[in-house]
Amino acid sequence: MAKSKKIIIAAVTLILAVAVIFFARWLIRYYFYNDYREYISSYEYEEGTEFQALQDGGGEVAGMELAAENDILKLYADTETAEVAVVDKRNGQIAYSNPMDADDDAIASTTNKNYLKSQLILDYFNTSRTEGTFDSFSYCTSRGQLEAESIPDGVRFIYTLGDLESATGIVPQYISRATLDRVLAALDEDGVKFVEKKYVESTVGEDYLELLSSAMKGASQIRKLNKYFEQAGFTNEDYIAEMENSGVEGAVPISFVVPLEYRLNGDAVDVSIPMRAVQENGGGSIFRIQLLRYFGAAGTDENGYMLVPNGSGSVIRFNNGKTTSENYSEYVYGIDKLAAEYTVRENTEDVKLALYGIFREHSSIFATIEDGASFANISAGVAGKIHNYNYVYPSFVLRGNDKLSMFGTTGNEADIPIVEKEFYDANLTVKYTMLTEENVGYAGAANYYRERLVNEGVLKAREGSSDDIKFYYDVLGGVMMYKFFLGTRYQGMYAMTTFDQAADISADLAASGVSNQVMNFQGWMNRGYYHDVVDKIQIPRALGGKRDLKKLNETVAANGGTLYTDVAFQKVTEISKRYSKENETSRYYGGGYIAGFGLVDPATLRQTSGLGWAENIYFLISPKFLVRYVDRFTSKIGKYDVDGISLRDLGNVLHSDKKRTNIIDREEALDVVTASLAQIEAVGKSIMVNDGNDYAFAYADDIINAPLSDNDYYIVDETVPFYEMLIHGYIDYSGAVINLSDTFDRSDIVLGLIETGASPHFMFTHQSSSAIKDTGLNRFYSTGYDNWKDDAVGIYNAVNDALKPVSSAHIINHEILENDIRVITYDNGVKIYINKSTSDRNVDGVEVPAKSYQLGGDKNE
Amino acid sequence: MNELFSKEKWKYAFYTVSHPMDAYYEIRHRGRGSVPVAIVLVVLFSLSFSINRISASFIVNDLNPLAVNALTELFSVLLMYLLFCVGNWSITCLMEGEGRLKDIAIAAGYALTPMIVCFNVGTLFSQYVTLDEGGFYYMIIAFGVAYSLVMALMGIMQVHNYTLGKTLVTIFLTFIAMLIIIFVVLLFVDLITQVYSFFYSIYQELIFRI
Repeated sequence: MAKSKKIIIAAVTLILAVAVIFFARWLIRYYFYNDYREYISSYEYEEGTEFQALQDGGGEVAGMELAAENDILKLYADTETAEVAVVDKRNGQIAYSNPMDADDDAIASTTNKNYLKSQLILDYFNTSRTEGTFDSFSYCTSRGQLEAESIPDGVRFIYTLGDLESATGIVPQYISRATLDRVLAALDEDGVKFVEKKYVESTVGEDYLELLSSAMKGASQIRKLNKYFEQAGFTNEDYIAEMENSGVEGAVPISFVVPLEYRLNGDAVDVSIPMRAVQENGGGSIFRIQLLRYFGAAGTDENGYMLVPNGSGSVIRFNNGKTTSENYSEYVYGIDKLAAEYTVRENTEDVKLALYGIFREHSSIFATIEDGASFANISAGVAGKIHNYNYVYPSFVLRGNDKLSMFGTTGNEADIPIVEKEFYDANLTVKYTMLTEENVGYAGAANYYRERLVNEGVLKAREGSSDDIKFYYDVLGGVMMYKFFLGTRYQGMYAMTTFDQAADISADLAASGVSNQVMNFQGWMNRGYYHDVVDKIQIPRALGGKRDLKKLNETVAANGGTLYTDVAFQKVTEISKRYSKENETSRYYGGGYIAGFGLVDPATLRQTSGLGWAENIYFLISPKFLVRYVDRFTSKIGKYDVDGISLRDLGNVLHSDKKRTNIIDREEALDVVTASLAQIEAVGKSIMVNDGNDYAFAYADDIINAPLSDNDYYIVDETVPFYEMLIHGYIDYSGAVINLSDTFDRSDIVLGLIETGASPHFMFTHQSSSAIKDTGLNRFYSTGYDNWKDDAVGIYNAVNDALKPVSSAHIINHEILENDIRVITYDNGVKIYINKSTSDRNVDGVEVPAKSYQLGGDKNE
Repeated sequence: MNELFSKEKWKYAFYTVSHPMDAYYEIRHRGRGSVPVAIVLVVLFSLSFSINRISASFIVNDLNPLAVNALTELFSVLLMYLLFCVGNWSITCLMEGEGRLKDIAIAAGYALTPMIVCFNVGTLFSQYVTLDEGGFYYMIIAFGVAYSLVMALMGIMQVHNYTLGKTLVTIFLTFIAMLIIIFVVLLFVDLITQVYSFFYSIYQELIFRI
C-alpha cells in the first residue's frame, strides 16, 4: 500500500474520531441533559361517583341542590345548567357562578346572554387552524350534554362541548362495505333495496361507500334511512366509530370533554380544571379557557369595586361609567416573552401577584390562582358596555400558536398558522375565598391573605431589630467598554467603581447617618455588569480581586449593612463566551428561532435592539439549562465572602421553551425557577430579588424595584399599594432607582415612598457617569456619588422620619378619603396621613399640610 | 524569502516613486520588483489610512474615532486590492497586455507609496493647523492621492506596454470587471441561500403538517 494512501486513511480516521467525540459530547451535554425533570410537580385526578345531593339542610337557593357543606360554606349546584351557588353560613350571603337574571339584561346581545349563562368559554383551533369559540351554555348545558359527579367536599361537572348532532342522524356519510353488509343483512327486502340505492362507491378508501348528496338533502329520505339503520341495531356509537374510521377530515364534529370541579375548603371554594382529563375530539385544539367569567359578578344596583393586580394593585369601581375604554386585561407575571410580539407599544409594569377580588359592602370574594397562574390572564370589565354586569375573571392560555413563514423558490411567501401538538398539563385551580365584614375591602383581603401566607410559611418573621428603615443603593462596578489596540477594537472591562471605592461610599454614607444600608454591587464578576454565565466565578483584578471584595463585605457589615452581589441567571448577554446560544437558549415553536431580545429601539419599538452595543442583546436561557448554571453557581459562591446574593432576573422573568421536540411550558418553568430559588437559599446567604413576583416571596429577604404604583389604564379608578400591604414588615423593599427616575419632584418621591412604606433606592458610581457614555450602559447617565450624596441622604432622612415608627409593623388599613387624603394604619397603632394635594387639609382633627404628611394614632407598645 | 525582502528591493520601491516610467519598465522586464514588498506597502497604506481617520485633528476630521476599526479597514483594503489586480489582469489578458498578475500587483502596490507618506505627514500636520489653515492639510492629502494615481496609471501603462489612451480604456473596463466579479459572487451566495432555504422550508412544512 502506498504511503500516501496510509496517510489519507489515518487522517480520515482521525477526523471521524474527532467528529464522533464532539457529537457524543453534544448529546451528553445538551440532548440527554434532563435534570430539570426532577423538579416538575404533578397532581392526581380524583375519581368521582354518581352525583348525589345532600339531603338535609338545603333549600336556601331555589332550583339548586345541596352538593357539599362544611362549617362555613354550603355549595349548591344545578345539575341541568351547571350553575353553582355558594352560601356563606356566617352572614347568609350567596355568591352565584352566573347572574340569576341574565335573560332580563337590557343591553346584552344573544351571544353575551349565552356567555352570562356559561361557566366555561373555550377558544379552539379547528383542523384548518381557524379559531372558534364554544361557550358552555349554548354548546353544552342547553343541549343536555352535561354530566355531574360527586367528589369529596364538592361536585364535578363534566362538560361535553360541541355540536354533536349530525345532519344525517345516525346514518353515516361514509361507510365501509363490511358495515353496510352487516346493516343490510338485518333488514327486510324493501329496506335492502332502499338503503343500497342511496350509497355509491367512494374515493376516500378501498371498499368504501358514500351517501348520495341528493339523499343528504332530502329530509324524508334521511328520516327513512334513520329508521332502517335503527331497525338494523345501528347506534350513535357505531355512527361515530364509522365516521372516525373513514379518516375523512371533519367527518367527526369537533368536541371537547372538560371537567370542572368545585371543592369546599374551609372558607373557600377551590375551582379546578384538571387538564389531564380533558379530551379533544374531531381534530380541535383548545388554546384558551375562560373560567367562571361571571362568578360573583355585580349588577348595576350594587356598590363596591374590583381589585386587579395591576402593578402594585388597582381598584375598578362597579359601574364607573367608563364604557368606552378598553377592558382591563393583563398576563400574570407578564406575558411569556416567547408568545409576545417583538414590538412593544406600551411600557407597563407586569402583574406580580396572581390574585384579584370583588368587594361589596358586606362581603367579598377574594380569588387567588393557586395552580396554573403562569398561564393566566386576568381580565375585568364594567357594566354598561356589553351587558349590565361588572366582572373580573381569569383565562388560561393552554397552547401556543405561531405563524410560520415559509419562503418558496422565488419570493412566494406564506404564513402558515401552526399550533402546538399537546395542550399544557396542569391542574388549573382558582381559590375563591369568601370574606365577611371581618375582612372588608382590599385592606381586609390583604390582611387575610398575609395571614395565610404567614401560616403557609411563605412570609417569615424578619431578623434584625433596627428601627431605621433601610437605604438601598446599587453600585455599578465593572462596565464593558470598547478599547483599542493599534486601532483595532476590542472589548475590555472598565472599573466604574472598585471594591475599595465602594467601601469608601459605604463608610461615607454611614458617617452621614445612614446606619441601615443595603449595597447591591452590580458587575462584580465575570467581566462586569453584563457578565458571562455563572458556571465559573472570576473576580476581576481591576476591581480589586477576591481580597478586596472580602474587605468590602466587612466594611459594609461594620457600617450596619448587607452587601449583595448581583447575578443574572436567565438573561444571558450576547457577549458571554462560555454560553452556547444555539443549544442553550429557549426556542420559538415555529422555524426554530432562538429567543434573543434587547432593549426597545425608540425608533422601531422593537425589543430586539442593542442600541449600538452587542452586550445589550440577551438570550433567554431554557429552563432545561438554568438548572445546570444554578447548580454550578451554588457550589462555588460559598467560597466567596459576601453576605448576600441579589437576583437580577430570577424572581421576575418567567418564560417557556417551545423547542418543538421538547416543550417546557411556563408552569414547568415556574417549577424549575422556584426550585432554583430554593437551591440558592440553601447556600445560606441573604437573598435580594429584583422586582419579585409572588412566588419569590418565600425566598426573598429584600426586594428592590418593587412596583410602587400601577399602570394608568383608563378603566382603572384608584391605585392601591396591595403588594406592599402584603409584605411590609416581613420583606423589606424599595422602588425604582430615584436618581434615574424621569421626574425629580422631591416631595412627590418622598410622599410616594411614605405611602407605600418603601425605602429609597439609589444607584452610585465612583467615577462620573460621563465615563460610560460610550458603552452599552449609557442609560445610567446620572449616578456619580459626589453629585447625589446630599440629595440621597436628604431623601433618606425625610422618609426615615416618617417610617421609623412603623419599620417592622404591618399595614392593616389603607384608605383613600374623599378629599384625596390617604390614611395608612399600621398594626402598632400608628396612622400616617398623606396629603398629595396643593392645599392644607384637615382629617379627623389632624392638620395635614399641603404636599406633606402627618403622623397620627397612638403607638401601642 | 530573504531575496524578496532584500534591501535592494525596498530601495527600488522608492526609486519607482522618483522614476516611475523607467522603474516600471525594469519591473516588468528585469524582475526588479517584489510582490511581498507590494503587499506590505498595501498593509502600510491601510494602517496610514486608519491612523489618519482616527488621529487626524477634529478640525479636518468629522469622524467619531470610536467608530473606526483598523482591522476591518485592513481587510477591506486588501480585498479591494485583490479585486483590482484580478480585474485588471482579466481585462488586459484579452487586450494584449504584456503584464503578468505579478506585475500588476507590484504596479498597484508600489503606486501607494506617495499616499502612505502624505497621509502620515497630513495626520501629523493636522495637529498643528487652525481652521483657516486647513487648506494646507487638504493640499497634502490631495498631492498624495494625485501622485499615487499618476503612478498607478504609469505602472499599468508600462507593464502592459500600452498607450495612454488604451490604458485609460482598460482601467475603465477594469472597474466594470470588478463590479461583475462582485455581482457574480453575490449571485452565487444568494443562490446557495435560496437552495438551502428551499430544502429547509420543505423540512419545516413536513414536521409541522404531519
